[in-house]
Amino acid sequence: MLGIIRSLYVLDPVSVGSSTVSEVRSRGRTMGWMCSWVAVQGAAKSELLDALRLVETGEPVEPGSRSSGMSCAERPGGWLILFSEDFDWADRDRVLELSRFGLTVGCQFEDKVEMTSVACAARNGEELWRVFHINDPIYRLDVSGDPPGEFASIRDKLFREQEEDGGEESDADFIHDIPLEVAKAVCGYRADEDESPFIGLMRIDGSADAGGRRKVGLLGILLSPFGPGGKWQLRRRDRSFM
Amino acid sequence: MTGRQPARRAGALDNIELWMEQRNADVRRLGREAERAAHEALGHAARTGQQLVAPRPSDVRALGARIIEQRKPQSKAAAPPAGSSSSQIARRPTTSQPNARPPAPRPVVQGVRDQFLAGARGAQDAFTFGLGDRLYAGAQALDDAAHGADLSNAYGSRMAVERARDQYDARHYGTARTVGQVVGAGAQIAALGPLEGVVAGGARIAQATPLIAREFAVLGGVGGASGVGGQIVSDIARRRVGSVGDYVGAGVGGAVGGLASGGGRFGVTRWRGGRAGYAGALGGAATSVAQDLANLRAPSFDRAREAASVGGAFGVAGGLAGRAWSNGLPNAAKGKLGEDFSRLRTWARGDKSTRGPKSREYLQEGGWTVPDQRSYRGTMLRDIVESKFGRSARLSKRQLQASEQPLPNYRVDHTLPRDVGVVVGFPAAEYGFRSFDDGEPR
Repeated sequence: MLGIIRSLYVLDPVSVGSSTVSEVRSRGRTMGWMCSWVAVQGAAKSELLDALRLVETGEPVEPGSRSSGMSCAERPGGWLILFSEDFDWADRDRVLELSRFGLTVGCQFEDKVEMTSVACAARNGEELWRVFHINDPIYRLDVSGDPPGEFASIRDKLFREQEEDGGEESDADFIHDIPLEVAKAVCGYRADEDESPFIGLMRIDGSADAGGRRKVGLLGILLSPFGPGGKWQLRRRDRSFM
Repeated sequence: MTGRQPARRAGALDNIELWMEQRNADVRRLGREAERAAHEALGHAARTGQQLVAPRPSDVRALGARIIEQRKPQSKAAAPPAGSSSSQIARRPTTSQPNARPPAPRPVVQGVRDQFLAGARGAQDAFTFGLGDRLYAGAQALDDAAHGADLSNAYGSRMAVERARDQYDARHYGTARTVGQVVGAGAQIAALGPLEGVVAGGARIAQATPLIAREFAVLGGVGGASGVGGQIVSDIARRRVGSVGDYVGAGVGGAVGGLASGGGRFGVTRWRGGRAGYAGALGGAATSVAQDLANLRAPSFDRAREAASVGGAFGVAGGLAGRAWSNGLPNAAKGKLGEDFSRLRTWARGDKSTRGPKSREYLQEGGWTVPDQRSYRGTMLRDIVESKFGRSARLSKRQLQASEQPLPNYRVDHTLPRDVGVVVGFPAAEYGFRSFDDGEPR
């Protein structure tokens, strides 16, 4: 059991971008569908990657496969998609930071623990709208700003599907799809539908992908519920606006 | 004259009411004094080994009244009177006297009532680990103290009475008391599940893949090893060497507890696993019985009941700790914990998990999902595994597609905090009930 507990904090060298070592350590190993992405419209790829201190590896990557911590692809409409295997990468600060390059859509999602999904858009450092879901309760959907016109029909359709599948008693979470669909309505990208390969990314100094596995002590493991992201931390962040 | 009669009658009535109040107050005071005197006598008898009993409250008061009566012409001797045969209250023969006097014959209704009360006291003792006696004695001692008695002495006397009453019940209403203890222990163990569920409860999703026979076999094996390990630790702590029978019993009992920690549907019965309290209680009771049998002695009901109670309590304590800890982890760690439990399941099924990058599973109605693992036996694909952790985990729309399509060999593992609770609580129970067991035959 100790081996299992310890393995929680054995980190794979997948997180890149501007995440610091301490950030990576606090999040633990990123995994499957605990991902995030940012789509920026009209930005030059080289400028964007320079700002993030990233370069392309040239290797084709399937987002979500964990074969590379980050990847990118260009899509119609002048959108550049930056995909991360780390749920926390495309957080609010990242989206606001990148929105100086053009209209930016951010999306975070996980379907393993709390069925969290977030979509938002920003321009010139200012957030335009935000849609957030977490299965607590299942119909929870927090909305701020002025979401795109398609939002109402997407919401109504998926609320109806949830109701037809048993509502609160259902073992499936259809509401989880609402932020993903809203983001797709704006930039045309949805991670579990897009079949075109992405290109892998690595840090300019190549350090992230060459990183080793790090461990923390038993005390750190036992106290992790008090640490970042833990449920017992004294200063909790507002989960509506992650 | 006639005009004064009502006034005189009213005065007489007032006098009668006053007299009645005074009389009632005297009765209450004498009752308290009698009770106190009886408890002092019973406590003294318990400390000095005298066999003095007063099984019912009325017997206690009668005993006290006789003591007070005897004190009147004499000095204030604390010693109780010698037993007289006319009352229920009697000096019982000491254990060295073989012909113990049975209780005097009573009406049938009274006898049934006494049997019922003895059973109820047995149930209460079992349910509260004997704490009920202490609480009751404490409350009575506080009342005694409020009426001038020394609190410490009063508590000692009251406890002595409770112990004497338990002994009396065991001797004269043995069956009723045993039945009561069974009911009390059963109620106590039944309460463990809801108690444990207070922290991070939650149900597994319906699509979660149930345990197969091979996984149950592994649970039994791990439980058996845990039982033997607990016996080794216990022997080291006690600086003794257990018999072969002790180790065989520990292995068998641990296996029973391990099996009880898993859940599943068995015919029309559904056993909801993941409850460390139940696993610990069953493991404790089974270990006790198996050790008695393996050591060629008759199983002791008392020992099994105590092992079940203490094992259950330790199981719940460890279970609550495991639940709370795992439920408090950051989401990324929870997801990883779910994947690790999936790897354990894959191992228990006799398969191997793949390492390295994940790959997509394309779905018939469009889209794709990224399962967490693929398991293989040799080169043959066995399962496509989706791992989930926590009370809020559900299937996403894509995963529901995969489940309903159905995607061949799609396995959904849903780990809950209570599963972690079992991992922590069951070993705690395995060691815990041994620490309260003297290991001696009874």
